[in-house]
Amino acid sequence: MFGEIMITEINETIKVGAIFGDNKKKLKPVWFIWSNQKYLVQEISYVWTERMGKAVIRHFTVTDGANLFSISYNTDTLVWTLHSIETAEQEMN
Amino acid sequence: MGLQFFKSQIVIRKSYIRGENQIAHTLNIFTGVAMDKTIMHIDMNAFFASVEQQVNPTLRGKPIAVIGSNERTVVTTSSYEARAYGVKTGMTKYEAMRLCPHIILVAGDTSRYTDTCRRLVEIYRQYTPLVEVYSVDEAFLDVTGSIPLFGTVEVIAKNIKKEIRKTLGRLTCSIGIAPNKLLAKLGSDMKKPDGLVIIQQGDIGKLLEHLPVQEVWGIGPRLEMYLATMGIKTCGELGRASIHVLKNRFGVIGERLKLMAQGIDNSPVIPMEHEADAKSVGHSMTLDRDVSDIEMMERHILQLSEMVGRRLRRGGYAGRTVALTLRYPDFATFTRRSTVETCMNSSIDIYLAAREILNTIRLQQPIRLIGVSVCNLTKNTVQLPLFSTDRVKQAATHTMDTINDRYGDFCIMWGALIERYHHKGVISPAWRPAGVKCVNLSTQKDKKANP
Repeated sequence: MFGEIMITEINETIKVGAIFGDNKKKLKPVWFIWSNQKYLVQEISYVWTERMGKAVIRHFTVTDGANLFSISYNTDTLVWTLHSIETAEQEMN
Repeated sequence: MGLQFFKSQIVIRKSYIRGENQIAHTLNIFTGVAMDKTIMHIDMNAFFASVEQQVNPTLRGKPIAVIGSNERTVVTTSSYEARAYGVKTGMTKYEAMRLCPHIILVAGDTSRYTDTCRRLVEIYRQYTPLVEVYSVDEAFLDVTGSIPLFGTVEVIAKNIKKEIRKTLGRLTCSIGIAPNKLLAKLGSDMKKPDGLVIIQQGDIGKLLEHLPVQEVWGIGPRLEMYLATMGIKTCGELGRASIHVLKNRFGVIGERLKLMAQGIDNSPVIPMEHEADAKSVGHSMTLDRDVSDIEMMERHILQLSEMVGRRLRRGGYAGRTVALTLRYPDFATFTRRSTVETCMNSSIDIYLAAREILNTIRLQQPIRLIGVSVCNLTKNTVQLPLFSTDRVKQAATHTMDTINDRYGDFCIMWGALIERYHHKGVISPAWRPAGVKCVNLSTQKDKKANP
């Protein structure tokens, strides 16, 4: 039995409530709405930055306690995007 | 040993407030004794796997292996939990699954790792401006001039570890501290994970006497084998070996080997800004499937030529020699070169030269890997186009570069590359956080949600 992380790609724009300049963190997502459901960010597990041309994309992996979401903020277009949802699945050999 | 100086320091602490960051610099004025150096080697532990375990809390404490996203992929790195089962870098994912049936395979995201490297370098630079990025997960720091500012070298090392944990979470590193880079790297290897090893000058002889030669940075399996045929297995034996015998056997590097075995290494820590100019710029890709179709190979060559051309132009380089590298499924690899009179950095010129090389090769088997590189480089060469077609070509290249600089690589591209091979973002050992060796390894395929 081995495990593989199942990633469902979404790549949709989302509405996000975020705090700017919170205690040394430049940007902190607090909640987001996707598919008419509101998700509260319980933990931001990682933050990293990527460049696409002149645009700076700030990536976050966040969890609501149940699933892991990969979201990003494009500082050029000011658009938030939900890239993927990760769930852990196990397969029987 | 030369003149005796007394060294005193004028410490100027400059605090730059940039957002929340502060940077401290120490200026040393040399008026005294030539001090022994203190070099730190920092090696992030199971770097990619540690990042993924930080990203995804459900992976923490579990055996995981970071792999690429194509079928041919191998294990890039594994967590310490997986290493306990014998899972190692370079294994196929099937071998890893055989050794550790409940291993979790995670497709790597290189943009996370390269950005994490940049943030690590920012942390290191709080303690010294002399930071040499050796690879994405290793760096050398010359902290000789920083010690009086921070107290002791242990304090610097512990502060760095604390700062990494505070900024990046569960990531740990092994730190080796020694009078030179060679020994500092040996030190960081001695305790993993989360190690801190200090090698004093007086410890060197005892440490190296019985140390197997292959443990020394720079001595690989082939050199180890040649030395073994000479009856040399330890650093002690190599350090006592005759310099004439070593030079006869190994040429110029014979003397260097003897010095290495004695723990002598005078190479300085070279920050990125002072690295020598690039000697070549190239890209290669391992294909998902072996390819026999010439048209498909030409498309891959066009993509590689565009990637090489972009980096050359960004760095202000142009070159006279184009090299095409091909690898067969049996891993037989060969490179053919073509040199022209005038320097080039236009993607189409590079492509045409590489394609011409391909036309001269009689392929024996399908191709597994294709690489294009340009060498014989000069910097800041201004090419003045003589003919109107050349002017048009240069203008088109400049326009494409401007658009791709603004919106991202391959935002505007040659029509043949609409269905291009998506580079899986393998991080080359030559990758650096800035400069011409900084390659954007974004694996974002879908740009729809980030217009």
